[in-house]
Amino acid sequence: MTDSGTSETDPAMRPRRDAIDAQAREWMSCLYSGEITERERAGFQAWLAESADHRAAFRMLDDLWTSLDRVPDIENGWFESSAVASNFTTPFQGGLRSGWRTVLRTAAKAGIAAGLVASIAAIATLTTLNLMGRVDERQFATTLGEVRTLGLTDGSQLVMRADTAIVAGMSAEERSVTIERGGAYFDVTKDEDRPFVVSAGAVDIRVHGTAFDVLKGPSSVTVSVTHGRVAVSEVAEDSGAQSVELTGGQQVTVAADGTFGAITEFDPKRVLSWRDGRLSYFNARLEDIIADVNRYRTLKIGIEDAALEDLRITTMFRVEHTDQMLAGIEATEPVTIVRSPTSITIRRRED
Amino acid sequence: MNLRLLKPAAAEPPTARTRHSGLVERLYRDHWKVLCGRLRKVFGSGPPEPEDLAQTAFEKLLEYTDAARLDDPASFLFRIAINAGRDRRRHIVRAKALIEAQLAPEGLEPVDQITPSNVYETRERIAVTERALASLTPKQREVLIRSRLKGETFEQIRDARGWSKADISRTLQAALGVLQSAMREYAGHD
Repeated sequence: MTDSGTSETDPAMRPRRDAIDAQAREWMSCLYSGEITERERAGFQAWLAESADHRAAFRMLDDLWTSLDRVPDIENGWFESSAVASNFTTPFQGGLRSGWRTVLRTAAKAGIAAGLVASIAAIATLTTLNLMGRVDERQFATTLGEVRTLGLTDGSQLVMRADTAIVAGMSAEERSVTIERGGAYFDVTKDEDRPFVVSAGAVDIRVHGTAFDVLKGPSSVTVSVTHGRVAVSEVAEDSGAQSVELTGGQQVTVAADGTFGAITEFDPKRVLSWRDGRLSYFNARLEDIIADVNRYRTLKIGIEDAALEDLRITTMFRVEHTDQMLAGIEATEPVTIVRSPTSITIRRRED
Repeated sequence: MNLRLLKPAAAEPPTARTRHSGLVERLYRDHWKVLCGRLRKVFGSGPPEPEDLAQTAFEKLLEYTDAARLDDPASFLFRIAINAGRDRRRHIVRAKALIEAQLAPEGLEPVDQITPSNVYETRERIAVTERALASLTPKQREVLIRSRLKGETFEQIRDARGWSKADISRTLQAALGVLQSAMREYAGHD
C-alpha cells in the first residue's frame, strides 16, 4: 500500500476507505484492550507509516474516541451495580463543606491556591446545606430504551427494564421494592431475617433469596422465577387473599383485578432476553408486546381496536428494530399499520 | 488548529486571583454534587473514588485563570475527572503515549488534551456523536463506556460481564463503526 493521499470524497474510493476505517477500529480496540504486545505496537506504527490515509482515518477515530466524554449524559444508560449501591447509601459522601476544604488544602500544598485559604470561612458559611441525612427510600427510573443495573446495599441486584420507575426501601426488618411502572429482574441475596418484598399492581412478591423477573404490564403483572422459591400474593385486606408459590422455571400472570392465571413453565432465555436488547414473545398478547415496545420509542404505538389487544403473537426482535417487528405483524396478522407524523396506530384490516 | 493554552493562576495579580477563587467557589457549589454523581455512575464507589477525582478536577480548575470563559464548566470538570481516572490505568497511559508519539510529528494536537479550544469545539459534532450513541445496542454502549470512560481492559470487562474478550473486541469495534459512519455522513463524505 502506498502513501496515496486518496480523495475522501471520491465515491470510487469508498470501499477502500471503509476498509481503512475498519483497520483503524481494529487498532483502536487493540491499543485499549490492555493486552497489546510489542509486536502489535510495532505493527500499529508500521500501519500508520504506510499511508497518509491510514493516519487520517486513525486521527478521525481518535478524535471521536477523545470527544466521547463531551457527550452530555454519556454516563447514563449504563450503571454498574456498585455505582448505585454507593448512591443508595451515601449519596453525597463527605458533604460540600469538607470537600471544598480538601480541595483548597490540597491546592495550597501544591502552591496553587496561595492567598485563597483565608476565604475558607466565608465559603463554609455559604455551603451549609445539610446533605448528610440518612436515606432509607429512594426512587429510581430508567428512560426510554435504557436498561439499568442497580446494586442494593444487601448485595441484591436488580436490572431495570426501559421506561421503568421503582421505589426501593431498606430497613432492619424488610427490603422492599415497589414497581410503579415497567419491570425488573431481581437477584436477591439470601436473608432469612429480612424478607425482600416486591409490590407490583395487585400483587406482592415475597422472597428471602432467589432470582425472578417481574413485569407490570398494562392490565396484568407477570412473575417469572429463574431459581429459588417465590410467594406471589394478592394485595388484599381480608384473609382470603389468593397466594401461590412458584419455583424455578415457573411463571404466573395476575390480572389487575387480582385474578390469578395458571402456573406455567417458561423459557428463561426468552423471557430475560430484554436484558441483552432483544424482546422475545411466545403466544403473547399484542397489548403487552406493544407496551414493552413503547418503552423504547418516543413515537408511541397505539392499538385502535380493543379486540386486537388480545391478539396472540409469537415474535422476537432487537429493541432497535421495532419498526421491522410492526411490518412483520402487518404481514402475518389481520391488521394494518397507520402512520402519521405524531402517531403509529395498529388498526384492524378491512378486507 | 488554533490552540490557546490556559494560563497558570500563579501568574496573575492578587485581585485577579481573588476573583478567580470566587468563581471556582461558585462553580464548586454549583457542580460538585452533580459531578460526583456523574463520576459515580462511571466508576462506582471506586477505586478511583468519585470524590477523589472530582477534587482533582477542581484543583485543576484552580490552576487556570480562564475558568470564567468556559461556556460549559460542568463538561470541562467531568472531562478532567474522567481523564484523571483513566490515567490511573497503566494500559491507558501507554496507549495514549503511543498514539500521541505517532500523531504528534504531524503537528497534531496531543491525545486527550483538554483545552478551551476543545471545550468550545463545534457542538454539531458532539450532537452527531450523541445521536449515533443513541442508536447503539445496550451492550455496545456498555462496552464503549467501560473501555473509553472507565478505562477497563478487556479482561476486566470479561470478568465483570462474562463476555469473551473476542466478543468484547468485536462489540467495541462495531460501536466505533456506528460512530465513524455517523461522522463520515455528517462530514459529507457519504
